[in-house]
Amino acid sequence: MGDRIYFLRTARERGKSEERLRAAAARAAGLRAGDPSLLVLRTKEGKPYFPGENLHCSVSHSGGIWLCAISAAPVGVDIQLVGDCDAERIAARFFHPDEAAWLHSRGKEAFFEVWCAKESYVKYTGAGMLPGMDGFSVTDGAGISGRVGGALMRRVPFDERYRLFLCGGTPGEITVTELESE
Amino acid sequence: MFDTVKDIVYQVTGKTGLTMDTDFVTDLELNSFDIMNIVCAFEDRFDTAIPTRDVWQLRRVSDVMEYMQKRGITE
Repeated sequence: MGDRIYFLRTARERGKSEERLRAAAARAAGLRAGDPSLLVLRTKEGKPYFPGENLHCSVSHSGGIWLCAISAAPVGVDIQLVGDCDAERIAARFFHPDEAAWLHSRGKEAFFEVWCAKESYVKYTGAGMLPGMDGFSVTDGAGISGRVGGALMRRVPFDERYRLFLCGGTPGEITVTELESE
Repeated sequence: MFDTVKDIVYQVTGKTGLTMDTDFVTDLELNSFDIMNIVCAFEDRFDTAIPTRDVWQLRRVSDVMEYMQKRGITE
């Protein structure tokens, strides 16, 4: 099974994440949504997982888009709507010095590349958000690294108003599929 | 202070309808980028620094108010 991303355009994000995740995983694995192996559990850091070892997942939401990644290997996904923010201030606080330097040379458009890639990495590791964000770098001097901490790091083409990164997973094509509206 | 917190959350995220018990992550479904921006806005409005290690103590509106009050900030 190649890595799959399922997304939903929704203005109402609250309370349905696990139901959506089960439905997406069932579709990816060819199972019924009620299959016991698709029970969604969470680590103490809040990362969702399935109790079986063969199906891995990650969830993200931003700006009216909810999405999840389903893979045969550990995976982290992050989507972020590009918007206004104090990029230099946030970079100084949360980014590795190498990332802050790269951002300074590239300008604000690069901010969301770095942020989204970092988020996908901490979701891949399951470490959780923010603490320790400045302790690793997703850049290699020329751009976003193709590997971070040994894991694949890929930008996924999506609506240009957003940035979408997938970390980990399996080599090969990433399939992006829109789910039916609720 | 409650009105100030509500105003900051609205200005940064557009979310309304907050109560003292509102949880930023589970109730408002804010992501880490939103949280980061709210923290920066709290720092600016209350003229204080919030260490990164403290950010995840501020899960609910009431947590923010208690956090500020413990630091002598009343508004």
